[in-house]
Amino acid sequence: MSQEIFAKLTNSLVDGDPDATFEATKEALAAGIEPMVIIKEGLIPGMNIVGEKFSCGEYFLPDLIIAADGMQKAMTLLEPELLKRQQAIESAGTVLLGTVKGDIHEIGKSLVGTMLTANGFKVHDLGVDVPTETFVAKVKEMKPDILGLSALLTTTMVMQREVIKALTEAGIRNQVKVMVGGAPVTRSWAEEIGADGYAEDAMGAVQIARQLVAK
Amino acid sequence: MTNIVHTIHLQPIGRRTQIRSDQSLLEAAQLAGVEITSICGGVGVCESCRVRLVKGELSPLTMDEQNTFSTEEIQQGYRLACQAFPRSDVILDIPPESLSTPQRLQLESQQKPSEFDPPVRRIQVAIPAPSIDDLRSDLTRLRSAIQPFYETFDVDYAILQKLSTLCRTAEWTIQAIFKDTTLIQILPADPKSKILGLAVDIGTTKVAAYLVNLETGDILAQAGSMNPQIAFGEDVISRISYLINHPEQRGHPSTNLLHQRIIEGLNNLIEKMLAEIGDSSVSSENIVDAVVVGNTAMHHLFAGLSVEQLGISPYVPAVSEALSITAKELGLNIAPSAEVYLPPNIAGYVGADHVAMLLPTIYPYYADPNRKSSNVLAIDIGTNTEISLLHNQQITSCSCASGPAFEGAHIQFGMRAAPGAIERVQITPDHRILYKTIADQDPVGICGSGILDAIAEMYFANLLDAKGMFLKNHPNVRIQNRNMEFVLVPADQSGHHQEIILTRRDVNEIQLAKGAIRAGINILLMEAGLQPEELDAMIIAGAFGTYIDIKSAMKIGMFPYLPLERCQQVGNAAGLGARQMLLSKRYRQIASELAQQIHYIELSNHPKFSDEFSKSLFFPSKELAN
Repeated sequence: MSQEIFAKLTNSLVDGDPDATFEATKEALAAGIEPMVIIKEGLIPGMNIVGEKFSCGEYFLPDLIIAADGMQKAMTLLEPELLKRQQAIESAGTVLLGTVKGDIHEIGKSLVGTMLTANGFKVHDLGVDVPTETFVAKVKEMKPDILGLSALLTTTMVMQREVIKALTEAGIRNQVKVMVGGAPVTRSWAEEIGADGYAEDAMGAVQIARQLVAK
Repeated sequence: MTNIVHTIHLQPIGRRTQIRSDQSLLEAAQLAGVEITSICGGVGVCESCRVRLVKGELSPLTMDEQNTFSTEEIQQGYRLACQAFPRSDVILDIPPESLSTPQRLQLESQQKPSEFDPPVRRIQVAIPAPSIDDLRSDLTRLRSAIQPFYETFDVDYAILQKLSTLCRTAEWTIQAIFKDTTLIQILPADPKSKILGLAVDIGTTKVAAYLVNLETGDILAQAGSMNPQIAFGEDVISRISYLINHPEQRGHPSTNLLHQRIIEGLNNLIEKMLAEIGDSSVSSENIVDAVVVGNTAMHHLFAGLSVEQLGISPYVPAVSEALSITAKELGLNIAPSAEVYLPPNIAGYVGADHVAMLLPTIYPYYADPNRKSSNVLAIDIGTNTEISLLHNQQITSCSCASGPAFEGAHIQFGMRAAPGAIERVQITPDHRILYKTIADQDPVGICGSGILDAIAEMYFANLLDAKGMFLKNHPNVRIQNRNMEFVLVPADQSGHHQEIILTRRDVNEIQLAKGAIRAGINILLMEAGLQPEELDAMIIAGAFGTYIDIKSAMKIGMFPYLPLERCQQVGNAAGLGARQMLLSKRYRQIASELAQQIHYIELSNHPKFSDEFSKSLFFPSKELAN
C-alpha cells in the first residue's frame, strides 16, 4: 500500500505534475505515513531522478522548475506535520549559498538550493550580488560545512577567486569547503582558483556536497 | 619565451599575422581581421572557435579541448582557437562553420521621415578674389561673403587648413556647409553635388547603415554587415569580458581593438555605399552629418568609452546624455569636421538604439492628443530585447537578455537567415511537414523564424507538451541516446544530405529566450496594472521581429494573445529613428526629452522576475488561441 503511494509521489515529481504530488502527499498523510518517511521514500527519490535526467541532458530547466514546484507544494502539507511532531528534517550538512558580487542571476543558484534542500541539506541562501565580506562574515558566524558560490557571467566569475582569497586572508579557509558553479565556470577554473568542488548542474552539486561533507 | 614572435597563416582566407607565443590563435584571427565566431569571448567554454592545424606546432591540448573534441578530431588537428598558443610558425585552416557568414540583413523601413529640419545647411557663395586693393585674409574674405547668411560663425580647424587652396582651385566660388553655426565643410561649387548624411544602427550582431540626401530626405544607398566585433564574443557580456581580460586595450580608443573594428567596419560600409551611388561628384567629403545608434555597450565601444562597468552589476553607463563627436576624432571616413551625433542612452542595457526605435513607434502615439492615452507595447527583438510600454502617457522600459538563439546560435541546426535556411514550418493535420526556405534553396539549417514556427506547430500538433518535452505522436519524433528529437528534414531532402533535426535542447533554448521576453512584457504590464488584452497596439521591431509569424510567437507564449489587427511588424525601427534624427533638429530634441522622461525598470533585481521567467518558460494553454 505505502509502496504504491511512494511510487505515486515519485512519479508525480518525475512527470512534472505538482497537483498530483500534492494529492499523493495528502493521501500518504491520510494513510498515516510519517512525514519524514514520505519525504525520504517518496519525494527525495523523485527529485533525484529529475536531477539525474537533468544531468544527462534528458531534462531541462522547465522540468526542474516544475519538480521543485511539486516538492514545495508537498512541503506546505508536510512542514506543519513535522512541526507538530517537533521533528526537524535530518540534516545531511549545512550549506551557505550565494551569487557573487556584481552578479544578480538567481535561478541557477536557487535550483542548487532546492536540490540540496530536497536531499536533506540545511541551506542558507544569501541571495544575489553578495559582497565578498558578507560571505566571509557569514562563514565565521554560521560555520557551514560548505560554501557555494555561483557566478553566471564571464565578467563576474573572477569574484569566486576573490572570495576564496578573502577566506584565506581571514584565516578560515580550512574551516569550510568551497564549491563553485555557474554557466561560464569550468572544472579547470575551479582548480585554478583553489575551490574544493565544482559541479556542472544542480544534481552534480548534491553529489559534490555529499562528498565534501564526507571528507 | 614570451617574446618569440610567430607568423600565423590563416587559410583559406589567405591572411597572415604575427603574434607572440603568449597570444592565442583567436587573438591572431582578431588581429588579422578574420571573423571567427567566439561566443564566450575566449574562455574556452563555447567550443565555437574551432580551427584545424595544418602545419606547425602549438601549445598542448587543454582540458577543455580534450573534452570538446573526439579522438579522431584531435588526430585531424582540431583545436579551439582561444585555447591554443603558437610554438612555431603555423598554418591554420578555418572551417566555414567557425566563420561569421554573410546573411540577410534588415534594411527595410523605407518610409521617409516626416519631420524635415536638418541641422546641416549648405550655402553657395562667391568670395571676392584678393587684389592689391583688397589684402584681407582668406578667412576674413569668406566671413564677409557669408555675412548675409550668418552674422558670425565658428570655423573648424580642419577647414582653415584647406581654405586657401580650395578657394583658389574653385576659383572663389564655393559651397559652405554649416552645422548650426559652425562651418564644418567647404567644397568647390558644383551644381550636381549633393550633401549626404550617414545613419547607422549598430546591433550586437548586425550593423545597418544608410546614406541619405540631406536636402531631400531620400535614401541614396544602404548596406548591412555583421558586427565585426563578433570575433571578440557573440554577446555584449563576452565582449566586455574580453576587454576586462585585456587591460592593455583599455583606457584609450587607439589601443581598443573592439573600437577599431567597428570603425573599420563602418568605413567599409561607407565605401560600399559610395560605390553603389557611383556618382563622381559625391565622395566621403560630401558626407557632412551622421547619427549613430546602438545599445549602450555598442554606443560606448563606438565612442571609445569604457565598458568594463557595464559588465558588472549595477551596470552603469559611462555617459547617458546625447553626444556630438567630430568624425576625425573617431576615425570615421566622412568629412573630417562633420559631427557624429549619438542620441542619449537610457540605462546600462537600454541604449540610444531604443530611443531611436521609440521615435517611429511609440512617439506618434505619445505626441498625438487623440491617441496619447493608448496602451502601446513596443518590442525590439535582438540579442538583447528592449521593451517599452506607453500607459497613462508615461513610457516605461526594460531590457531582457534573450540571447542569440533567434539568430540561430545555440541551435544544433540553427543558422542565420541566409539562403537555404528554413524560415517557415507547418505541420498539417495529417502529419505532413511543410517548410519554406530562404531563396527556395534546398534546406541546410533553420533560422529563428523557422524554429519559432516549428515549435509552435509541434506544440499544437501534440508533439510537445507545455514543458517542451517531446511526445511520441509522430513518426518523426524519435529517441536518440535517451534524448527525444524531431526529424524536420530527412537526409535525402536536405542540401547537405544530412538530417535536419530539432532536439529538446533546441526547444529549451527557445523557451529560455522567449521566457525572458515574456517575463519582461509581464512585468511592464504588471507595473502598469494592465491586462494584456487592454493593449491597443503591439509593435514588433528588429530584423527577426519582421520575419516571424506573430501567431506562432503567441502560440508559444512569447507574446500575449492579441487580435492580429492590433499588431504591427515595423522592421528596423532603430534605423528609421536614426534617419529621422539625421534630418531633424526637432527629433533630436524629442529623443533627449523621451530619454529623460522614460521610467526604466531593472528586471534582474525585480522581485517578480525569477517567478515570471520561470512561469514564462512553459507554453501557454492552447485554449487561449481561440
